[in-house]
Amino acid sequence: MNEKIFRILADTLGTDAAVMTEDTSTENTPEWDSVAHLNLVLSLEKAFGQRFTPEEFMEMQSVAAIKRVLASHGVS
Amino acid sequence: MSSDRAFLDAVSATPASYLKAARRVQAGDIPDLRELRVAVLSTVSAQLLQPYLIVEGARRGLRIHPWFAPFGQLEEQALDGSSGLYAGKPEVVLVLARLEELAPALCEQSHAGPEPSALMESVIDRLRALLRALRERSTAALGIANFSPPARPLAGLGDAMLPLSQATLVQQANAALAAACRDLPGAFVFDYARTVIEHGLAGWHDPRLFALARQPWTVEAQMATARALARTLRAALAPPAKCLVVDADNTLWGGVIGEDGLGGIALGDEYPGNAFKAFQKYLRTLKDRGVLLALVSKNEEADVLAVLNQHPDCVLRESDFSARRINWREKSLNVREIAEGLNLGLDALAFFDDNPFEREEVRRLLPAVTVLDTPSEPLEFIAAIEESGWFDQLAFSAEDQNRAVLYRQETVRTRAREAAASPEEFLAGLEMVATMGFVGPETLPRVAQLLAKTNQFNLTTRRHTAAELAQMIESGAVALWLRLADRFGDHGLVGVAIARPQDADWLIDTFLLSCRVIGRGAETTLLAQLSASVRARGASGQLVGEYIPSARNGLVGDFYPKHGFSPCGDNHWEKRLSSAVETPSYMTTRFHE
Repeated sequence: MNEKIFRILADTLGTDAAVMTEDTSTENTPEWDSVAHLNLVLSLEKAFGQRFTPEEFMEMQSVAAIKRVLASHGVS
Repeated sequence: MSSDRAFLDAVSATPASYLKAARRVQAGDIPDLRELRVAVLSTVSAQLLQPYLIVEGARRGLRIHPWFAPFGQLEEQALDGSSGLYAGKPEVVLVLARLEELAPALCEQSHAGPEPSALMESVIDRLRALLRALRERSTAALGIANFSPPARPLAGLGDAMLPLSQATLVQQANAALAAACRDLPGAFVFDYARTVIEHGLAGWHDPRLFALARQPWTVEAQMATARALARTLRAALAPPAKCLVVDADNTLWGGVIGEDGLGGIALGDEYPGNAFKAFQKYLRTLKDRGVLLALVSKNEEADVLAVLNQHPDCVLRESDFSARRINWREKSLNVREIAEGLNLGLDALAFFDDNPFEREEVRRLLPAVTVLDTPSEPLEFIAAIEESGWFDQLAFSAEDQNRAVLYRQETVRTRAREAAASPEEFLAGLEMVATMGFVGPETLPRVAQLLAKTNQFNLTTRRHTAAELAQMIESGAVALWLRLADRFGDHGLVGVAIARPQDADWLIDTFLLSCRVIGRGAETTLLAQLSASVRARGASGQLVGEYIPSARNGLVGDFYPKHGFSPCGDNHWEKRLSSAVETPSYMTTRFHE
């Protein structure tokens, strides 16, 4: 699960998946800007076959938050 | 195609996958792409198009460097010569403006406010002024997206019954936008409306993304828009293939004529014959667009001609093909001869054949020829050719639509040449008339087209765009066009000469002739007129000619010495303006004021 999210993050941001943790977030990742965020959440939708609400778009600002939202969709 | 670009085929339909591939394209992983700086002005936030535009561009031979203005900035960028837009020196400026933002009243309220037609007119006026502002400050090609049909007409289902429906209003606006582009050098319409329709309005908008980030499109719509845009950009920059070489058996009809006979091949109004008949009709529309058709088939010539001339359901006739080679030799040999016979470079040819062996043979021995992928299903032939983009052309000239006729006249001329006792007698017998004039708005599109695609009789191969040409003329250059006609027909506009002042002398910046009229004295006639027109500007120094060698223009290396010019160093030649160039005696000339 973590690995899949890391890979999508790495592909979207052009950063190294090896340095990512649950704490990786918009706060500590300069590449994770607002345009990248839209691309990230849209990629997660495709990869996990889910559709997120605007509120969830805004919430998924870290790996931990992404996992929380995915869990609420029954994906874990 | 080399393995360098294999990663482009492995891209999956997610933003992450496209972003990863786009970074590789930008890093230079694919060699030999044409660099292209594209600036985008939009009423919405269009940055999400970036990775798709880069990948779709790379698939078509372009390394696109997109730059996006902050959303909503149209005039702010266009009217300010020091804006970010111009700082990036874009080669193409794209305007993606939506009615939803340009004229909210048209899309939001069903009554009150100004009359819809008047509102739409003011929107078009605004965009026309925007394009003009861009034109005045940049020589970039200008593309503008037309308007999509309304997603939800204000009158709902009843829209279609209104005297002036919202959908009709949008169509009228699109026609007005197209007219604005036709009137402006180097401007073209990006058919966004068609892109939306092809994909489907239902899957086009993502209201979440618009609410969150002013970005209206679903991921699929972003991809479709970028795909159509990249295809349009390619068409705006590169001339289409000039000739389509097709096979006969199992391509123009089902079955093998040599075995199945006239009554046994599949060609008619029932399946599977109707698939081939439809394909032939499509090929005829290509011919009407100006594409030359050629036929290469391993067969007895008489068998194939019997189908073309006698089969009641054969749409294409012998005369529809500008050239044919029906024999048992390798197809690569025949294709090469077709190119030579039509006086075309191999890179102007596309090859379509159902047989993978023949495709491979041509691909290997004639790498410059575009070998099109041929689906195994004949019903998919049309889509395969159309979607290949090799015959995409954004604007048409009268010469395009007349091209097959021009080449047929050429065959008649060849016979006359063979019958004449001497070249002079032949030329005199042609009764040629050269009409010349100064390049103006009506002739600019064709002149720019000639500059873009003429390789052989082209002294300098400078590819000035329509906009650059307009600017050169504005700043004092003498730019002439030449049309040539003879007793067999009209060749159309086939020659261009441009000279610009350089101190007391005039430098011939561009001198070219379409390859189909080489060797008729038109070049001497045009040079004589150029010299006279420059003299009429009061110039009295030297007329200076320049030859820039290219891979294709060896033919004109001695053009200036042959016309009495003396070498003055470094592929330059000069001749005193006071000593006239003589027009050939067999040429009648007219000047179009």
